[in-house]
Amino acid sequence: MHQSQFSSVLSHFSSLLGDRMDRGFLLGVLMVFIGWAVILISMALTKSILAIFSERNLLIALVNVSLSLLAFSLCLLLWYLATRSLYRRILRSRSHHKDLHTPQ
Amino acid sequence: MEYIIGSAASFLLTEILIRIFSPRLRSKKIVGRDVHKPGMPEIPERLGIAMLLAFSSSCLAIYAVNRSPSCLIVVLSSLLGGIIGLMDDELNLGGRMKPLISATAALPLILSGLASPRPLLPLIGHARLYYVYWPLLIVFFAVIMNAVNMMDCLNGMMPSSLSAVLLGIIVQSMLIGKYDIAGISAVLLFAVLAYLRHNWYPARVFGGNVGSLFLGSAVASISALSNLEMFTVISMLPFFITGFVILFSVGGFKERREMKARPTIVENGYIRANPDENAPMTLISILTSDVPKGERRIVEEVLLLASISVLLSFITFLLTPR
Repeated sequence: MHQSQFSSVLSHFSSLLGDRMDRGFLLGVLMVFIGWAVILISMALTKSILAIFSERNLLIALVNVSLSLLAFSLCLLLWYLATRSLYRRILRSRSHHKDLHTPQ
Repeated sequence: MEYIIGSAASFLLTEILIRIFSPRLRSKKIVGRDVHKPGMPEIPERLGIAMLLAFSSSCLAIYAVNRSPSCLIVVLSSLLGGIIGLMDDELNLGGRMKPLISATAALPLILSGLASPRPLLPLIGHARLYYVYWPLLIVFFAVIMNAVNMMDCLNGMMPSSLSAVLLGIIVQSMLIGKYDIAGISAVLLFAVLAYLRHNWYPARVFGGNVGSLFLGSAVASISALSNLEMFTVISMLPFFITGFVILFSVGGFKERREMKARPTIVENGYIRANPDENAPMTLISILTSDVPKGERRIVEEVLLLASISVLLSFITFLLTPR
């Protein structure tokens, strides 16, 4: 089975950064940066609807917050699906090449 | 000045209380098994009580000197968090009940009127949220407390990462002129550092749910009082990664025994991700997905991730108008 492009990029970076930087750790770093990006994108969206966000009408305020939380949840779901896909690919490639790996 | 003395007292008291409680808890068979070590040794559990007592008494002493209401509110929230943790240790509240009950730790803050519904939002600045702030604050407490609780799975992993987060909160609070919050955070940081000395690999004590839920509650109340909620969320990204991927993987709030397969496998003292399709994904299984690793190395990597997150939080803080 061929490794995905992402998995290859992670392998390339891990070889560049040395033995301690394996693909699992790089995936962890990638997750932190994507999590940060998700929060910043949510904030950029919030900024554009801030006038509505600080609404004094309770019903409109609740609807707006619900929509924002829905968008945030969707971002999180996409984040999770992308991570799981990469994670499974690393696990599959490890089982194909497990003879190459020794405990660190 | 009182915060510097309070921090030193918090460190020393935690150290003394751990030394007093540890043999007593072991003799009363209040122990947990260290499942990642060969032979799974028994380790005294619930030493989070030592941190809770040391932090609370130091803060109350500071309150007696400077009458800062923030000290009192953080102590009340922390005690509530600790009591919920003790209940969980004794009665096992369950995966669904725990987040609901832990949200009540936000009540002292809400009822005191000390919290201001003007959180500092990244890139935006202070926002005025009228109705939505209070329910969001309750959710914030539940999320932070349970994220800290889920992170407490390897020797020293939770306290070391939380120390980095607290350091970030101290610097950011000082930069926005909230010196009392920075002081309270320092008192908490020194209690955590004293505990970390005993919980670091190979652990001689465990904090139990009482420790993790108390710390989560204290961090949530400190960040809410300083209006730095979103910056704390960024600093705690590895905690949320742990929480969210477990929630998504297992499809809701579930206890370990309800999971179909363990996320990791321990072989000859090395931890590796379980390749079983039914095994949930966790931060530890992600870090060990490529190569098996020793417990200490995983904790060092998580600490590095926490440090990167704190750095990202600080960069975001600098980009935010205040």
